Amino acid sequence: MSAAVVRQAPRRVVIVGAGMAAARLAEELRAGEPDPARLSVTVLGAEAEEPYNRIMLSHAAAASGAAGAPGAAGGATPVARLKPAGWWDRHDITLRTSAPVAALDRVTCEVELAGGERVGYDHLVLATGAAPRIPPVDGIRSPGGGLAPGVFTLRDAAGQRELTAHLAAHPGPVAIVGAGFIGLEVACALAAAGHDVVVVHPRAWPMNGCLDAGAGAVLVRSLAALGVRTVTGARATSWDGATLRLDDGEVRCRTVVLTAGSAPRADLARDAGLEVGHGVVVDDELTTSDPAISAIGDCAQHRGVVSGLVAPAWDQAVVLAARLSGADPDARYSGGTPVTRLKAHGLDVVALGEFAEDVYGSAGGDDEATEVTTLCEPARGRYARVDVVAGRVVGAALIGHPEPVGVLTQLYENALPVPDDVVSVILGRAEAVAAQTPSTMPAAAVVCRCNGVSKGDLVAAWADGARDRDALAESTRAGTGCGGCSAAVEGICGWLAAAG
Amino acid sequence: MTPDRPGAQDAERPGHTHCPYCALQCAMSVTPTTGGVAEVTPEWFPTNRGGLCRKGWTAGDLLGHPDRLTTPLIRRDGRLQPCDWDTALDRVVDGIRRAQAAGGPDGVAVFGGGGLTNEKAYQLGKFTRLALGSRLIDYNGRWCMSSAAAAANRSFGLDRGLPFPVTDLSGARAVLLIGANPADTMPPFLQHLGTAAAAGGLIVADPRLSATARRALDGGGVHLRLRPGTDAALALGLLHLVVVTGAVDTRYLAARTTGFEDAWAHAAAWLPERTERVTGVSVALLERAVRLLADARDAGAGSYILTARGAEQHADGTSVVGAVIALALALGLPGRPRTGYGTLTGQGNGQGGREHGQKADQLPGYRMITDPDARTHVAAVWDVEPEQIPGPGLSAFELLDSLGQPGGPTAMLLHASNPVVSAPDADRVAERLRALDTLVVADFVLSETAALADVVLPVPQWAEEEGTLTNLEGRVLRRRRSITPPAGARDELWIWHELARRLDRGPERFPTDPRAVFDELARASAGGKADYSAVDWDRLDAGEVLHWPCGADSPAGTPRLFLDRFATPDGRARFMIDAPRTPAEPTDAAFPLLATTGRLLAHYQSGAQTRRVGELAAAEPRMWVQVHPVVARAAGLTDGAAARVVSRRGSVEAEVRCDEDMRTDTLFLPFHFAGTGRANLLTLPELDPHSRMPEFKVCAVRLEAAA
Repeated sequence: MSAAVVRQAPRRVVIVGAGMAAARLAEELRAGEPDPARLSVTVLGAEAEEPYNRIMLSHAAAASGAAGAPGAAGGATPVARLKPAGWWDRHDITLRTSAPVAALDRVTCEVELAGGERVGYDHLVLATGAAPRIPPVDGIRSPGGGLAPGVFTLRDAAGQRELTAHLAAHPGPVAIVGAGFIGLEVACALAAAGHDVVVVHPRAWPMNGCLDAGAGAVLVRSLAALGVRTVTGARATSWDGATLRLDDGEVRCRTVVLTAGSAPRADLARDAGLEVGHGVVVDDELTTSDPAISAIGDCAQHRGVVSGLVAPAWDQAVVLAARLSGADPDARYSGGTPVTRLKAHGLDVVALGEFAEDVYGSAGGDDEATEVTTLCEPARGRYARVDVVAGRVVGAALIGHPEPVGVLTQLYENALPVPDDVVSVILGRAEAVAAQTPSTMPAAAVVCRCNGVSKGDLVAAWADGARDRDALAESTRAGTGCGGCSAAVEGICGWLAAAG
Repeated sequence: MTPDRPGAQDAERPGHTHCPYCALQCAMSVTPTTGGVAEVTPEWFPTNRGGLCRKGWTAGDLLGHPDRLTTPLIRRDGRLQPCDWDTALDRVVDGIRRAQAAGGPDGVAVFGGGGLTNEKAYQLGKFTRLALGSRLIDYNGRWCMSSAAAAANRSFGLDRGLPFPVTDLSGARAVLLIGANPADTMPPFLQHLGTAAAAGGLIVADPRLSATARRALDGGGVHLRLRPGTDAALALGLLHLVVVTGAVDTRYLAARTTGFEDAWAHAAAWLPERTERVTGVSVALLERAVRLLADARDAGAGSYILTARGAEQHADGTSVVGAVIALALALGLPGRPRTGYGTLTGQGNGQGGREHGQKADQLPGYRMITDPDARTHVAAVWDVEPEQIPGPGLSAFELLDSLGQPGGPTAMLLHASNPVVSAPDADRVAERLRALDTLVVADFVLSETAALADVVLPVPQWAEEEGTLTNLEGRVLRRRRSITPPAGARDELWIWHELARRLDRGPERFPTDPRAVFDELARASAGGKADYSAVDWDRLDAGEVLHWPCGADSPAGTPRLFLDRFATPDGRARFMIDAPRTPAEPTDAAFPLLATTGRLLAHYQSGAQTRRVGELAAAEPRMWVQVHPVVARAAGLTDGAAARVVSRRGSVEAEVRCDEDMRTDTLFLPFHFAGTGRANLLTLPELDPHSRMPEFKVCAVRLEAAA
């Protein structure tokens, strides 16, 4: 393949995978080139469902199949589905479900489906996602190679339905293996649904990849308050259907959910001879080592990073669609900025970027450009750390502080200047600034904005004999606009009356 | 403030008039005083409940102001010099003839304003089409309400700012304001938000901690401090949450709307975390906003969503409002008692001004000029053949941008507007105005635009004229004369009559009595969307409360629209959502900040009036730029320093006002100031495809120290 081939706008784009990245790409391709005669888009999904919101799986699992539960996935409810019924057809996108791809033929530019059917492409996009990592635990696999009874992963709608059905039949304790953000979301959702939940994690604290030790300690405490017990520094060693043995102890349970991370699904690419590292290697054009093939989402490795989050996957979809539809042939993806969040009822955890080196240690301590702000309130379930280097946020972790997340995310992602008062960014000005009273208010402070009346004006009018709200309004117009200062004017009246 | 008084008069009492400024149209009476300054007394009226802001209190100061124009001016030797009316009008007629001899009927263009009475707005449209025979008329309301109007027409089939009386808001426990800062722009309106504010149910989406947002926070409500230009994402993210949290009103969707599934196809992609990332508004706050609206709705306690210019003045403003309307529809708010969606109209007659034919594409009664039936109806009222009515013209910016260009108009009559200050990319517009052979400006002070004119015609002010206006809730109000205008000023109706006479183009079609004009307007509007045909001055003077449509089918008026059906062909409201576009002007290394513009409490629009009122000028004497202190510091600036804000189009000089509550990617500039302090020297004339609204609210800028 020469570079010249890909310069021509492809007429047939085939997307392998029908997850969130694939769906977004197909949609953006069609938006960029509405004419199907100029650009045909085919999406080949292995699952039986139309594209759905994978993020809702953990909530759906806990919903125990309750009819109409807003989070219920599996294509049954329009809510979890990314597009309404018939949308793909109406937008001239060929969506094929239950169509797993078995192989790529780069010579003939075709993909081969599991049934042997071949589908030709001018440009192929791999959006195959990631597969759950199965930790090495004795007895965790069935003799057939699948998972043993009582063991589940939560990567797709089928897995979610199996887990939900199993939980309905076996309402006993549940062990979650792996305390990343997905594991904890599942744990919280199941705990909220009344299950007895234990999370087993090999490291010293949960979400150790993006939280520091202080945040980890607050998180464990917060999880306990939600009914989730955390066992850290422990590895699962074996499973017998009733007991999950750890290297130090055991958990008696009927259900094990594996959330020990995931691995890019790169077998198709590897088998076809494409360059594969952790994932399918792509450049800033999101092109693989074959210029007629791109990769996006959880299966792709860009600048050494496999993200596993929806935001960068969608950013990649937008860039690739712009390139392939011709809307912006020069579009580039220059990397994402990881924002990881755990969202459960009563628990908000957000981590972004990377912490500067320990400010108390050798690297950061002497560095005047590095400023680390921490607020630690374990009893309130709150923790905040914001690391600022040269006036920009480089990393942050927030537990129990949902309100500043939007601001911090944008400060970080857009490299915006950080206010000097980081505490007020975290807490909000309302908490940081104390309200004024009539006596502490300076004379020049404006009481009635609508009419520009200051405390001093009111004091002067009082001295001239205006001794109640109506009289003050008459002489100063205070309170005659929006009326919002009525209480303040009353307050000043009372203060002046008391002062005699 | 005074609550609703039992039995209080909703009435228009003889002697009442209404404030000259915003669309709230606070009632007041005006009394002449010795020494030339008129005294203003607030009156009790449902919209203002006896309140006035300081603009209203001081409105009388302009009546006897030394800057008042009391004689026509004509440009001679490069200078504007006083002359008599004959000389001035002869010069105007010469200019019109010259322009039309060279360029045909469209050699003359007309520009109107949302401050004109209904009668004058109507007459100006008719004068343009019949006396001038030109299709080129548009007005400054294009830069005010056009996006909200386009979106409301698309979704509801009808555009009336508030489809319910403003007092309906008073009991509401939840009100979401998107891009609205009424605490500064129409302060007495805030009385109607008192219940929501006290209940912690006031939700304000604004890039700044505006006075209104502060009011929300003070009551325990919510401030959604979004990144400028991300309003559509915010609305879609809220819509997403309405659906996934089960707050959607499915029965209402089924019975009263169409297009939800397609709307959801867009909104499904606006996951809360993505919305948060794009808007900078935390998921927790988005969730709170949705919960407040849904809970108040479910409790029957009043739940409303309102937009204003912050959401609408974008190159995708129609889409933004469409997304907000979609949010309101998903919640089941529009067309029901105690819930609703509306937009807060800006200019005093922003509502009536857009209904009676001074828009490029419209005829009276909110009829489309391209609709053959509409043309036939209006032609019959005008006693002409339909073919004599020209077709649609150009939108405001496009019209101004064509002035003096090859094939463009070479003469313009301009009324009630000051585009040198208020137009986007203002210097470009000023250059076009200078390129005209004849610019005629009617005003009562020498505005920045009048200063460029070849002829300036002095006209009366609000308290010196009779007429009607239509306020933000579609209620027709009487404006009454309390003061005798200066001897040299002439009413616009007289001017147009006189021009038609001198041009020999049917002066009898242009009566000078506003009441006669209204009666004709009422007939012209009969059967139109904005039907005024059952309204007359006697009814208004008798104190009747008349909201349009008020015609043969609805002689008592229509305070609340859409209760039974929407004004669409199938009676259902339509979800109209487009994919949010990327910013009209992205930031880059040279222009790393976003500038947004807005209004101040002390000033009105281009400031031509309020900058001349001593008390208001003293309160806000000069241009400033609001900026976070770290952003100022990075530019080497401190509070009070002289700064320059630079965009790709121009630069503005402004005093730095540091504010810890600003976003660190955003500057705020008030747009009321003149000369080098014109915020619109920066703004972007990228136009909305549906409404032709420019992108006033976001442009990429940098901040630097003034030289």
